[in-house]
Amino acid sequence: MSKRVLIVDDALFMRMKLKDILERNGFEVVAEAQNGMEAVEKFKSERPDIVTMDITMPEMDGIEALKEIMKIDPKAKIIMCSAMGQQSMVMDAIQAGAIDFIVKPFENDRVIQSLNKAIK
Amino acid sequence: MSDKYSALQLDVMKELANIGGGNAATSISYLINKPVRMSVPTVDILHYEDIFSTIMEEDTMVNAVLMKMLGDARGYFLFVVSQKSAIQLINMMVPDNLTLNEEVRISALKELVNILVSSYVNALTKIVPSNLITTVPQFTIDMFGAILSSLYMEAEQYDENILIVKNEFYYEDDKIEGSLYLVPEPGVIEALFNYIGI
Repeated sequence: MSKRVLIVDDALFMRMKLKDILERNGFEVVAEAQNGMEAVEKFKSERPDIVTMDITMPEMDGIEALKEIMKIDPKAKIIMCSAMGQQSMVMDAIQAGAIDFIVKPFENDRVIQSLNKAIK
Repeated sequence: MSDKYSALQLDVMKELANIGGGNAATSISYLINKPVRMSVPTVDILHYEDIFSTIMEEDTMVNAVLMKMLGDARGYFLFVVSQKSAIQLINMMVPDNLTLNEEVRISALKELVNILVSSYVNALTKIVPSNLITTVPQFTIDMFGAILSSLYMEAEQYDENILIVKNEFYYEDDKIEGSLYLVPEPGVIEALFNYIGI
C-alpha cells in the first residue's frame, strides 16, 4: 500500500510541485495544509504516515506545528522542507523531533530519498 | 558616495551583498534549471530623485515581492521584476504538466523570491553569526516609484539620501531584469559595522 503524506506549505505552487513529485514516486498525498494550524488539524483527522513541513507560514509557523504534532503523536514522521536553512533553525527542528531537514530549492531525488528513509 | 559611510564600510557592504546574492543566484539556477549569473552588486547612497534617473524610471509598472527580515537585524527585501521577465521565470520553474492560472503564477513568483531571499539571509548568517528570520512574501503590481517610496516609509527611512543595496541577475545572455533591494531599518548598518569592527 502506498504511504500517505500530508504536505504543509503556504505556497500553492510548492504544494503542487511536491504533490507532483510524490505521486510520480508512488506516494499518496492525502491532504494539504497552508499553515501550521491547518497542519495540526489535518494531522489529527488524516493520521498520515509522513508530513512534509515548511517553516515560514502565516498563522502558525512550521516549528510550532511540528511541536504540536509531536505532542499528539510522538512517533510522527515529519520532514522539514524550508528555504530557511540556517544552522540554528535546523537544530531547533531536529531537537523538536523532525527526522530530516531539506533546504529549498530541493532536488527531487533528495526529497524521495528522505521520504523513503522515513518509512523504513 | 556619501559622508555617512566610509569607502571601506561600503566595500564591506558590497562584499556581503556579493556573497548573499551569489548564494541566491545559485538557488534560482537550481529552481529554473539554468545557469544564473549576477552582476557586481550596487551599494551606494543616492538621493531619492537620482534613484529614478539611474536605477529605474518611477512610472515603470513592475511585479514586486516584499519580504520583511526580523531578528537580530531588521529590514526589508524587495524583488522587482518586469512583467515579461516574471512570466519567463515562472515558465522555467513550473513542470510542463501543471496548469497555470493567475493564482499559481503569483504563488510561483512568491516562492522564487522566498528561496532567493532565504539563501541570501542564510549566507549572511554564516558571515555574521546572527539569528535572522524572514516573513511570508507579499506580492504587488504597481509603479516602481510607488513601491519603493512606500517601502522606505515603512522602513522609517526618511533621509533624502538612501542606501541602495542592489543585486541584478542574468540567465544565459538575457538579463532577467530582476533586481533585489535590501532596505535596512535605521541603525542596522551601524550595528553591523560595530560588530565587524570597522
